[in-house]
Amino acid sequence: MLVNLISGDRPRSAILTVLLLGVLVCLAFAPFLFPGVRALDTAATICVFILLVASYDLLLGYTGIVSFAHTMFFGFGAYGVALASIHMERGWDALFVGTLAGALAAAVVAFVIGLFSLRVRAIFFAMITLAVASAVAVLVSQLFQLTGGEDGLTYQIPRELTPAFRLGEVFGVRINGRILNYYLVFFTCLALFLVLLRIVNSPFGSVLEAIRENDFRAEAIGYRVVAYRTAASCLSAAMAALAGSLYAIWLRYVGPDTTLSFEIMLDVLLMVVIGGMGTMYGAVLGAVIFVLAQNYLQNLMGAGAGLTADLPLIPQLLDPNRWLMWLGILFILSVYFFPTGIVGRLRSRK
Amino acid sequence: MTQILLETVDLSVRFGGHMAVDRVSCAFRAGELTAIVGPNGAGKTTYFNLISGQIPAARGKVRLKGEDVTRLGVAERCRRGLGRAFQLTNLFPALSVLENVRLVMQARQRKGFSLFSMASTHLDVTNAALAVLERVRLDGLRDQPVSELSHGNQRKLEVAMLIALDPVVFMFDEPTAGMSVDEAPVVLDLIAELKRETDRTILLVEHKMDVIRTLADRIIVLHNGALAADGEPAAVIASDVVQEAYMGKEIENV
Repeated sequence: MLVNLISGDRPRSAILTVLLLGVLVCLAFAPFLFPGVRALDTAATICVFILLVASYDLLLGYTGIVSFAHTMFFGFGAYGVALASIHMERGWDALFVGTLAGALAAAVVAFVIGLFSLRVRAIFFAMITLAVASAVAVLVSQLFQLTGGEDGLTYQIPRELTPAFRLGEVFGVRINGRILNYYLVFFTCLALFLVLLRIVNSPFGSVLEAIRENDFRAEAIGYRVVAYRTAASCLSAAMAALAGSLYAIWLRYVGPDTTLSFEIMLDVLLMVVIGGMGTMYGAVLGAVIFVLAQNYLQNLMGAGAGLTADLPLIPQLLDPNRWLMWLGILFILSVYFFPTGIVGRLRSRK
Repeated sequence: MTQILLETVDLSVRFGGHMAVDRVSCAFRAGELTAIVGPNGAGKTTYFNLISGQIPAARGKVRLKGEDVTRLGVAERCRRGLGRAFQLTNLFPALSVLENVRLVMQARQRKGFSLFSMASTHLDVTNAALAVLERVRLDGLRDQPVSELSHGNQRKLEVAMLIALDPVVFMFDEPTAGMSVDEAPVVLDLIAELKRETDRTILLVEHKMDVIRTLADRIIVLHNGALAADGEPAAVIASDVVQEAYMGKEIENV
């Protein structure tokens, strides 16, 4: 049953199993384990990014396609929810329609991009996605009457998902709509992650891996490589859009910085690489480590600087403003020591 | 007369100023093993590439069981029964031996677009793949990544993948290339076994004359891309064309 749920894709490493279970428990009980608005916000962001990174890994790690349009699809989902919530009445149907429209738009755009570029070489696909993503980012900032431009959009979501909705207390924690909203995000991400895990372990997933390994031979044994690459690209785009919708429901705000920016694209790329390409579990670890570092590295460094205030040089190095430098060092070290990612490293030790 | 399974009509392609394959017209019949010989650069592999579709033909036609497949892509031709094993080993290196053959079986059963079932639950696919591995005696190595196999075993797997495909036309491109003296007969025995059992047609590019003499029903000779001889093995081997081609002399009047 449990093995079936994870599609027979066992972690194949004791440490990895412990880490994954730890992440699962922490996220499942986040509202009770980590009190505070900021902690819950971090937990929800982790959930969304796990899904986003896993959907990107379907392309990069499993199919061997580099795309720079993944945050664009993320944005499609987010803006879908935002626009539907603004232009329809506040309610669940607006969320539903916005989510569906976003995912559909993402799949259609991915299909068109794939049709034009996946026939040719992989590098061409990367360039096209870069161009389309840049064009969309410019469009969103220019069409401010519709998209709110650089300011983004705020909107109302059903009252049941907002802090104003109160349900009572459990274990001394006040249950409000915010916590319901968190569980909506958590369980949807968990379910979609399991769907992705199933897809990569399906016959379809095995063809994607074959294409990554040797597309020439995959074609020669009867798989139409273009069709498979396009399908993978559409699926991955739709999943990214769903992650975007969840993020929009959680934040009650969308803007270029939270969903479309190229910085997020790079973050996603780093999360896949740090976690381990071609393993869905890598997405989990990559996203957890990266989002935690983004949110708490500055605090940690501040504390470190305070503790070492009397020593020379070290407090300057630990200055919270230098957190990006440390993130960079962390990344270089992880790529150097774990070229196959954390999951690859854990699985290779016997 | 037995049925013609594969036919090329005036098949040609040019690389720059050089006719790599020059108006080759040839029919291949059911149950027949045809050896294709010729010096290096004669166009044997290019001829294969034109048949299986890796290179589009500039002129001429490829007909499979009477149907024109010249305009079809590689995957579609393969699905219709043009199976090919490659001269330079061309496998899925990071995947296991079993997974390589399983992928072929899965393609044959058209299950590639099954998204929500686990690949491991399609036992029919896995068992059929295992049966092929047993046949080529690679079942002991089923879980090894292909990149860790010896060259000889990789060649065997190359042959196993073509057998797994169970095509109408088997195309072997120098199946024993680079194999040791002990290993080569294993692969040749497999092809001989295939020939006994099947009513398909087998095309074999091979250099070793002793191999060809024992296996082939017919030999065609390519020289500078053109068909230089075609006939019974004994007659073709004895002919001036082959004697001179393999002695490295210039052929005149072809």
